[in-house]
Amino acid sequence: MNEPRDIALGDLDIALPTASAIANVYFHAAESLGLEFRILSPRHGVGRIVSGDRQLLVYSRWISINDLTSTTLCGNKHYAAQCLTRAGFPVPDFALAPTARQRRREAIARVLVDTAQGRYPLCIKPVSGSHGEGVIPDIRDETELLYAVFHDRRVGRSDTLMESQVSGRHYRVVVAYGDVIGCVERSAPRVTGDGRSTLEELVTTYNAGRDPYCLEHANLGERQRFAISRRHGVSPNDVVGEGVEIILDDRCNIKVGGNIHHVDVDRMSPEVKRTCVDAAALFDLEFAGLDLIGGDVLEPAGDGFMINEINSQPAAHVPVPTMTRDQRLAWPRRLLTRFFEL
Amino acid sequence: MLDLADFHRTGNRYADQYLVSAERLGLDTEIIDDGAATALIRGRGRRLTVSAAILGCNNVIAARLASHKYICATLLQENGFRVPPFALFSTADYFDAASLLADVLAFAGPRLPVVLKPARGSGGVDVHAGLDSEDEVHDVVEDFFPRSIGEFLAEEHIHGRHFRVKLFDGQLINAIERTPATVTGDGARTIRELIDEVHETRAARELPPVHSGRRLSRVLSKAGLDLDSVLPPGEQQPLSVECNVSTGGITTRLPLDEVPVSVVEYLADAARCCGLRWVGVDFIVDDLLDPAARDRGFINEMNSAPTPSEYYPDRTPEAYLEQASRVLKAYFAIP
Repeated sequence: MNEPRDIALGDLDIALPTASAIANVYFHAAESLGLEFRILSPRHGVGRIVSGDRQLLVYSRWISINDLTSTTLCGNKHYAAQCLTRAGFPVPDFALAPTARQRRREAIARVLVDTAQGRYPLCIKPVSGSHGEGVIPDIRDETELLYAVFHDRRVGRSDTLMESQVSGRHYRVVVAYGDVIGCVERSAPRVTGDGRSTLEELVTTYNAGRDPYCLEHANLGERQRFAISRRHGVSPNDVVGEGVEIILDDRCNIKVGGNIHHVDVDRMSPEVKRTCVDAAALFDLEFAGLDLIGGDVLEPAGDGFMINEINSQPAAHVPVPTMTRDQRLAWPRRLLTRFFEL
Repeated sequence: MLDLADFHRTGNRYADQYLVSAERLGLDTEIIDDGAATALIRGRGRRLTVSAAILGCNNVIAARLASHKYICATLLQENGFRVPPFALFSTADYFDAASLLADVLAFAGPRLPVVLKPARGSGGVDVHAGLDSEDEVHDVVEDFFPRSIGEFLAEEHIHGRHFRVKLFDGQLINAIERTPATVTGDGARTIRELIDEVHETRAARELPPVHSGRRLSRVLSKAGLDLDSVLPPGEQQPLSVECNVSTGGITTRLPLDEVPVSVVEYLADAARCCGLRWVGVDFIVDDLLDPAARDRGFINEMNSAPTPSEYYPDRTPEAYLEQASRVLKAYFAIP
């Protein structure tokens, strides 16, 4: 027996039937496919979807598909990069900086500076982590690297993966059971000057225009101010010249104010799709999110791209404000169809 | 005799037990992250990660769900398994301790004695069992609230012996009884001195000391004792209601061939219901070896990362590795 719920809010699926918007998308998708589901804890976004002798557990944004071995292997970014390289997949050049055993900031800095020799511009990220936490991209020289070490306590807590900075478009491709079921393009938060407004005012306007239900605000934190000052010579109280574009954060995550756009998977390059499916299979992942950086995925061969990361627990729903309810349910519907062999 | 130096691979004893067992079974091993004691075991077309005590055979979400005691109990109850009656509370939902206490007592009052325990956590941290008065419940809530402990469960305290049954894919790997730390009087020494002796013995076996503080005081006070009391010769006094080894508990191994098949099947069904292949089921019942146990016992918790060993005196290397070896054989289908 399904619990009573109000689906009148349609696209605002944050509301029902549990406290987790992403879990709700799964339950709505299950309902649309005629699958039985039962909410076990509305507070925690927990429920199970059942068909025959198969059950899928949903826990907030997570679903019970992958095992811990696959998750552990691709969750270690250094190990994953090694595996991908050995198997011939395109990945950025990388090196491991053994920072975890260092106790002092100065020692962490020394390890990172030594590892970084000849690698700038580069990106550093904790060997284990998600949601862009502790990731600092586009470090262009030793000054910026040292700034990162001494201004972000998360740097160096675990071993650090150092990658060459790759420029291009950022995509998240979602693979389920040997097929690409979804794709979005992600972009870094940016503002364009009008010759009258200060940077701070432009950021306020930018944030005010974001969908409050699904997109988080860009933040002019200390690190962002430092990078903007070095790249553009602009501080928060300076007026930004007309037409001057300023990237507020080098990361594309929604959590840091990034933007997201739906990509039609039917129009994606078959080569890109095949590469993503094969990379997921390398880790025995039945369900995976792959982050690609490079050219247009709609072009043949993806116009050149690299696999930046593989995520074993991607959300099967992304908060693109312009997506309709049906589009939002499309990914999880495809996933459930394959899981339950409908 | 056992020399742990022979088993050093990552420095984590449980990961090392799996890795040495894997080597002895002819499987390939590769350390992925030394600091996190994470390694990969490969062979016979399969692979398996080990991260400290966590074996990579379980579904990652099932393991997460099992680690939340409220969600796990709900899942089991929904599927008809016997669990102690329970309710969830959270310090985050209340502006003051008095309101929280009123709601906790509305559940606990008619069910005394009760257990209050955090929804997440292990090792018996902040678990208060055997609370048999509203005053005791009040004391614990007054302790939880200012510390913003978050979600916690109140559940009926089930009287019975505490067992942990470890299963892999329904196959019985080990069964132990867990009993609280106890001292035995000699008519001369105080309880404090007897505890000191227990600590020395446990330290020699690399076991954590007996938990002191609020829980110890409560148990002694209920028996009309304190740390300076002298017990008559031969009289045993429990030092805790909780049985966790980390709070001073003791484990005793049961003969596996005497554990009734009906009990194993019942607990294996519970593990399947939670989506867990490798699991330690905490089961409260008067006698695990009685075939009627499946109809009388209560599933208290499901542990998705049970350790592959307990402490036994005079271990041989084979005994030390036995459980890890059996789990790996089952996973890699080694005869």
